[in-house]
Formats: sequence, C-alpha cells, structure tokens
Amino acid sequence: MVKGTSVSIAACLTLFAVFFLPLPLAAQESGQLGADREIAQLAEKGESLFAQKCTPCHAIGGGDRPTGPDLAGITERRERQWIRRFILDPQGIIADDPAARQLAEKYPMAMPDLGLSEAEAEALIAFLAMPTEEEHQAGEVTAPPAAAGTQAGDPRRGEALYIGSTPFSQGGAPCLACHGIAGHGLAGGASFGPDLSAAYASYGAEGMVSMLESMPFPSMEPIYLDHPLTAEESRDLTAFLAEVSGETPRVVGPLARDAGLGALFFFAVTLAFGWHRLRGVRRPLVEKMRNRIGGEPR
Amino acid sequence: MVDTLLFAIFPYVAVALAIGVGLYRYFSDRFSFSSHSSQFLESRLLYWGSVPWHFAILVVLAAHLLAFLFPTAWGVLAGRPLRLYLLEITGMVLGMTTVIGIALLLLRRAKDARLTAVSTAMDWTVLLLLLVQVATGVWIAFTLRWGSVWYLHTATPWLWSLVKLDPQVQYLAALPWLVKLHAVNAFLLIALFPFSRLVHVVTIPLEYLGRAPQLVIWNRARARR
Repeated sequence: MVKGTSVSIAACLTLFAVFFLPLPLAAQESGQLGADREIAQLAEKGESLFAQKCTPCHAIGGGDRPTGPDLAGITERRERQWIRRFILDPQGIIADDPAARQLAEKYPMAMPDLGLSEAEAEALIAFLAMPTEEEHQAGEVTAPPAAAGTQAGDPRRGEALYIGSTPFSQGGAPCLACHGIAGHGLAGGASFGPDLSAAYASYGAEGMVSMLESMPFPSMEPIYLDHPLTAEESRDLTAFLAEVSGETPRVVGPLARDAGLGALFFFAVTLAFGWHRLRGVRRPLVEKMRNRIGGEPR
Repeated sequence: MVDTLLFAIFPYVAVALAIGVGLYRYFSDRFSFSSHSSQFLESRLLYWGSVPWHFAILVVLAAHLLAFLFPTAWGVLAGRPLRLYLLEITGMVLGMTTVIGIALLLLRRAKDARLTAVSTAMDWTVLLLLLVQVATGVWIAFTLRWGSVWYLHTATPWLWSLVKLDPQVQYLAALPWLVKLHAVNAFLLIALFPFSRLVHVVTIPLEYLGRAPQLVIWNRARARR
C-alpha cells in the first residue's frame, strides 16, 4: 500500500515534471525573444534617427570627421548614462565632464541640442549598441552624405543664395535671415543664429555640405524640412563660406542708438506738422476774447 | 500641448470672438463703436502720444500684413543687404516710436486725475497689452535680426496654415519665448478687440480726408463781467 502510494506520487511528480516544468523555461525563452525583438525595433527607430540627426557630423566605421568622432563601438567605450547625457544635454555634459570637454576641444564645433526625448535617446543608444560593425554597415547609414563636398561650388551664386538675392529653389530661408556674415556691412549683422563667417574653418568642406543638406538643428528643422537645399546649392554656399573664411565679421550692436535717433526724428516731424495744430481752435479764440475783454481767466 | 493650445486653438478662439462679438456689438449697440475720446479732458500730451503712435503702428501693421500676404515680393524687397538694412532700421525707428507713444499715453492716463476717473479697467488692460506688444516687437527686432526675413519662413507659413484650417504649430514652437509672447499677445489683442476701445479700428473716418475744414466762429458777444 505504502509502496503503491509512493509509486503513484513518483508518477505524479514525473508527470508534473514532464508537463509543467518546461513552461517557465519556454516562457523565459519567449520572453527573451520578445526582448530581442523589442531591442531590434528600438534599434531600427534609432537607425532612422541616426540617419536624420547624426550623419551630418558623425560616421559609424567611416572614421573621425572634422565635425565629430566616429561612433562605432561607442557603447563599449563609454557608459550608457554618459552617452545618454551627451545626446540629451550636450552643453551640460561639456560644461562639467572632463572627457566631454576634451572632445569639445578636439572638435571645435559645439554639438547642438538636438531636442530629442528620453525614448529617442534610448533608441539611438540601442542602434549604436548593435554588436558588430558589419551590422552597422548593413544599416546603410555610414556613407557620409558629403561626397558632393569634393566638387567645387560657385561662390558668387553661394553669396547670392546666402543674402537672398537669389532664392533657394525649394523656398528655404536665405541664411542672412538669421546668420551674420563678414563683408556685407551692417546687414551682415544678423543675430538670431551664430555668425557663419568662421563656419567653414570649423566644419570643413565635407562637414559644411552635409550640414547644409540635413540642417540637424531643431530651430531650423521646421523651416527646411519641406524646403531642403539642393546638393548644388549646398556646394555653392560652401564655396562662398570658404571664401569668407578668415574674414572678421563686423560687430553690430543692437542698433538701438540708430533707431533711437530715428525715433527722435519722427517726433521732430510730429512737432513740425503739429506746430499750428497745438494751438488748436478753441484755445486761441478764448485767449483772443480774454485779451479783448481784458478779463482774468476764469 | 501648450504650443497646440497657444498656436493652434487660441488664434481661432480670438478671431471667433473678434468677429462674432464684434458683429453682435455692431448690430446691437452700434453707437458704442468708439475710442471714447478723452481729448476734451487733456489734449497736449495726447497729441504727443496718439499721433506718433497711430502713424507708426499703422505702418508697422501694414508691414506685418504685406509680408504675410505677399511673402515672395517681400523676400525680393529684403533680398539686397542695403535694402534689408533700410527696411529693418525703418521698422526699428517706427517700433521705438510706438513704444514711446504708448508709454506717453499710459503716463498721461496715470498722471491726470480727470483721466484716471474716466479710465476703465479695460482701457488700462489694452494700453498695457499694446505696450507689451510693441516692446516685445522692438526687442525682437533688436536682438533676433533679421525678423523681416525669417518672418516669411516662420510666421507667414504658420498664419497661412491657420487660414487653411490646418495649423502647423511647429513653425512657432521652435522659436524663442519672446517671439511666442509677441504672437500670443497679438491674438490676445484680437480677442479683446470687441470688448474694448479697440473697436474704433473699424471706424475709419475716411470722409475727414476730403472734408472742408470746419471753422469755429463765435458770433455772439461775450457778456462782460
């Protein structure tokens, strides 16, 4: 009886083991698969973000560029938290992290705040952490879009595009709307964005062309997203900026003094036109009557 | 979210109020369309504030309107450095004139007891909002140069997207807070238009331009005291 009972228990345990023990293992396996799929999806999202936001300055496996370092294997060299912070707050990390500062010194063009969310930063990191370089290259984002930079552009046409006398073919804003430039007098003192007289020196031809073609700055994105520059326009602008490079831009103050003098002139004109008007109609009549009557004003 | 509220919803609310309440007021209380002149109570400072203010603000508003209606032509106008500079400096001069003008009008109302007595809360609100509007405008012109060009590629497409009932807030969302304040305050003024003395904007006394001058003649002898 006892023996029979133990046999039954053993059989039950065996059955239990056969049918139920693999379940957690299977669940674990499918969970692993799910996580892998999730990472792959995230990396895919990161890949398109990388193509859109990072390729103007960074390559993966294509070597360092004047605009920024090669990012192949970055997740092995740096902590994820460090990379995340560099993506989300480049100015902040450059200000207080020695390694970041060292990079900023090596690549003088400051990395712009890309305006990315936490989730987008995670997607970018997932993409950057793809294990092999081959995988990255399969992502087809490594080719620097700056092949066009090697061809020489027309600096005169570039200048006309910069100041707006020749409009961009796709309707983008002329650079002078926001960026100052040497050699155009007071009008060269645009102050919304940074002065671009020294841009060529910082970016180089290749960086300049790729920058102009993608405009990876959040404030410029809405303006150029539907109105991109053509490859030829980017080359012409680069040629113009190369020509200007080394010239010192004219320092233009807020122009408040000039405008103040103008406003003073406007008030002087108001005075001139209103000289008679000030005397009015009623008041002189009242004065005249008072004088005639010789009475005191009431 | 905030950007959607400010740049996609609020402009429609403001325009709906301006047109709806404006028409209602016109048909129900037509003779209240007035700037409630206080010239009778004080006229000297009024002249120095009101005249420069009105001439300058009309030109500044016309420039904003033309750049919105004819962006290509405006782009051609600003497409040469000298013309761009002259256009901008003219705008700055007129802008500073409006700031001084509206400041004088505020001062005038504040310092004269008789005017303070006839001023409503809405009068003060409108004057203060107008001061904010022109001060931010001038500040933008000074610090974010050149507005006459970037306006064509930010404000113009945004305003047209509102007209087409397809608000594209991203054009404004990426701009500095100063520009956002200028844009929101502009629509706030439009919203207040039918509730304030701003209604006088639609009563343009065009017949005054060609009218024969009025002569005031006293034909009665004044009693001797």
